[in-house]
Amino acid sequence: MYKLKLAVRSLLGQRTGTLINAIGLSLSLAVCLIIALYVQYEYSFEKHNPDAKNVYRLLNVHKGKRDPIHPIVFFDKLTAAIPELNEGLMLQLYSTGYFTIDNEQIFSERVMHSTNAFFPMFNIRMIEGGDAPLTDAFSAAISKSEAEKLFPGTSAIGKTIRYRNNNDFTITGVYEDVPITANYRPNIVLNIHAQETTDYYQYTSMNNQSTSFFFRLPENADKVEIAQKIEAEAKKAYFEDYSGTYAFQPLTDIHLRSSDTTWDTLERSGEKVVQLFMIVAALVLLIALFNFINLSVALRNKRNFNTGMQKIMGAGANDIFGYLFTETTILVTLCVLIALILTSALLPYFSNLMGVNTEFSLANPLLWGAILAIAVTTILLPVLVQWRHQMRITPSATIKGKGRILPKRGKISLAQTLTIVQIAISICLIIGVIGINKQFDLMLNKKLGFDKENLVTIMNPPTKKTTADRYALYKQELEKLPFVSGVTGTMNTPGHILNNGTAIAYEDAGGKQQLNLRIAPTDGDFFDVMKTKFILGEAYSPTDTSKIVINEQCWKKMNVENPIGMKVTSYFTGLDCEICGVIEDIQNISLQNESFPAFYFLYPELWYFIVRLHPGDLQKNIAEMEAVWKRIEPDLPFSYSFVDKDLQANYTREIRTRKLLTIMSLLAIFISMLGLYGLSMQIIQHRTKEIGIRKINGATISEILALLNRRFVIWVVVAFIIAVPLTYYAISKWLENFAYKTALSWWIFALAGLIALLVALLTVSWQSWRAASRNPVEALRYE
Amino acid sequence: MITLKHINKYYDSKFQRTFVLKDINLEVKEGEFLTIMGPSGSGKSTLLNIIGMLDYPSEGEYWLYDTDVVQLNEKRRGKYHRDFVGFIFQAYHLIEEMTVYENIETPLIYKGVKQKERQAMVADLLDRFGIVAKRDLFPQQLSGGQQQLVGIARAIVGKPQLLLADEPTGNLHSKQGIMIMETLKELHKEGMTIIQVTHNDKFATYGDRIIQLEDGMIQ
Repeated sequence: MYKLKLAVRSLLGQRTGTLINAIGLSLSLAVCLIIALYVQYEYSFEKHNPDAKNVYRLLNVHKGKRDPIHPIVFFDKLTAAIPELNEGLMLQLYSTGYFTIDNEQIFSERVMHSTNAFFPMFNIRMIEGGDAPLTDAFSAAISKSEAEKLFPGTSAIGKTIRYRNNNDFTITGVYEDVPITANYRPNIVLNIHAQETTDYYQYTSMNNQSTSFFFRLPENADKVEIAQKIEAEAKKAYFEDYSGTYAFQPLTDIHLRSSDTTWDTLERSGEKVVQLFMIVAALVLLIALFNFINLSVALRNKRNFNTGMQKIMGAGANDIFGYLFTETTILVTLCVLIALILTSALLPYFSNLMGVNTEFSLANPLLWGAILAIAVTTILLPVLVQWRHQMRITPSATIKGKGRILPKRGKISLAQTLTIVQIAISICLIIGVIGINKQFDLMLNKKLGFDKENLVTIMNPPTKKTTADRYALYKQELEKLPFVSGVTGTMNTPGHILNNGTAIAYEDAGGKQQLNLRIAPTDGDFFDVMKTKFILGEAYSPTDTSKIVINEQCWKKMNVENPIGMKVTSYFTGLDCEICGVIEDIQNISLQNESFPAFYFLYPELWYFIVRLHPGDLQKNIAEMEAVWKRIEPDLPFSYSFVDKDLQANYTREIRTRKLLTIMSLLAIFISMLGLYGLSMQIIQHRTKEIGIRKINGATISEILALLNRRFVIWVVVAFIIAVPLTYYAISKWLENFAYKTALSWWIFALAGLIALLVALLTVSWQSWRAASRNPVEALRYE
Repeated sequence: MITLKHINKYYDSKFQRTFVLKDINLEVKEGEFLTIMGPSGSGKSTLLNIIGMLDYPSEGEYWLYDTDVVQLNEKRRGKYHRDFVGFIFQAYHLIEEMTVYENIETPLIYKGVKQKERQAMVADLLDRFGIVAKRDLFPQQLSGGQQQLVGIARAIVGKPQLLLADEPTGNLHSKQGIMIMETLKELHKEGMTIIQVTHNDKFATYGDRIIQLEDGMIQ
């Protein structure tokens, strides 16, 4: 009780120090707790499925890329030939389905195509309709909440839903809602075998890869051997020389360890990102911990005196430890409470920002584990550091108040080292944030190859009525609208993968050549509307189907000096054509990779309109375009998206990482600057007398400022020198993930250093200025 | 009681050794009231600190009865502080976070005295020094003389045999100073051994014996 009382008074007595410690520690604790909950969430995927460790996704490994998709027909061939694969399922990932129910159009997110095996293998319990609802080809199962949404008040069983205005599916099963930590969370599952009727080509062709395969393997199965059997089957099914291999990916690895898989539209996270956040959270905590140690050391003149007196009055080593321990424990406990409140208050914002579903619950053992671990460290470390220091000094020195905060020139103290490390961490984070932003800017703006502003895509659904006619008609109508600056068309939305490949044949100095590339069917005014730059030549005229335009990658691959006017044969159309232009690459695969070589040509049947709008009221303009659409095609939905938003949605993970990293870096800088503020305050108070004497002897305010700030400038410089090589290495490593790398220019580092210097100077100058502008008589009065 | 033999205290810097105390030989008998005088920087306080074990001599022997104090470890030194010696300082050196009562009580806590007894002992002293009304105030709420009274009370509450006073009147005006010196004189009469350091000729005469210190040497 006695020590408790003294500790509280002592904390209140050093208000600034206590406040700095409390703010820094509470904030960083909250950050750590939030990140801990986030990490727990990310690692909890498929944990609800007790059998998840035996379920595998089949990956096709081809030319160094891992694809999770295969042709539908391949599935039956595999299960027939390989007995180990008897428990398996096919699954086509979500699309947005539009359904007609009682003449009403309804959009449903996360519509999946699969088979009966989906439910037991992914541990989803059926509520109605028995264990095998998808027996009939045109049957569907629906989640409980989606059923309640679409058929409020009645049972969904037996209801008919018309899918994409084409085919009627009967609902034969209702399943319980899938946990948020499942990889596959469909609202509606349609029987994949319906595609035999609806999409015969996709259903039967070995050339259409659209479907993921999952297998439950026996625990002791030899996965390598099975994979080899699958390779043998692939050679039979494709062609003799097929060079792709196969691998089994555990279901539990999909969420965090498959950021490299291509053609995978499943929303995933990356283990590296999760680890990055763990590291940054630890750094933030470290900074706060250093503040703790630093400030208690800096406040030591006062404490030294108290300890000195206590020793004179007979206190032993354990008494001194007791004082320090009580005081620190009170402060840390307080911070834990504040951090818990902060965590529960901030977690919803965090979940929203990161698109995750973390929950705050005091019953979560992880929460308490993290708190305990952090609290023990933050109590014991500073206490032991101080205690060691306190026990070393003689009482006579302390009661005279002669302790130095910082050592004589040329010596290095703990406080100095810790502060420099803090500043270095801050500089690292600033450099990291600038570097990451620069890379994203390059990917999302500069390397696109077109202007993404005010660009809208409208789907032109392929249906029985010819798409080409509808395309021409709607384009004509759109061009009449006053807010439309240009309309063109394409088969793939800009910035997305060009997924149709072919080859061209041409002749150069070395004879006949062949090149595999991607095709991009477009409208004639495509390059104008997209604002794409030509490197050589010009666009084809809107009627000339004998000309093609190639991209820069294609030109590089062809390796000819001037491709303009060259004759090539396209295997896609089977026609001879002539190259009339070379454009800068339009990004046609995910931004981490180099663009595919591709050629652009005129084609009438286009699935997307690309509309360039004049800046203005987007909602109103969209509504007007929709009205026009409804007039032409009352039965088909008007489906549009903004190209810039669409692109962002493709890179949500990167964008989120960037946001969170920026926030955490700002926090780290804030906390280290709090510490610097506290330290500068102590140092300058300590030098009050010196400053007074200097002023009496004629020093000006600016001279005093320079004198006081010089030390801090040196610290920042040292920290900078430490931070630069570390971050240079780290960012170079990170950039290896990208085909288009931003340059690690010197100015990134210079800017980060400058920011750190400015912030540090601002922080300390308030104290310096006060000390320097003070009346020297006041400073010396108490001598 | 105390025997100092050839005590030296010096600081080494690069090329020279600066002596603060040089070859001090001193004997203090039980019940004595010794005054150490001397100009600023003559080493008075250092000598007192060494006697009080707040500082170490660089060389020499320090015998307390038959104990070689220089060889004492931290723990034994704590015990010595607890049981044997009390200190009074020029700047009072009360602990700001503690009330008057707590400041006086603290040495008893380290001595392991029970709470009931502590209350009685502290109350006695408060009464004796006429500061009962101040018991729950903090040091900064008291006048200098009152603070020094608390300082003395804290120093003697544990009934030490030796009281060390480092310019106890230095920060006080003369009237308060006389009050403090009278209090010391009274304690001396009760049999306490006292060593004081002072500048003040008048207050020096309160003691039985005066030694003059100059440039670290006894004159």
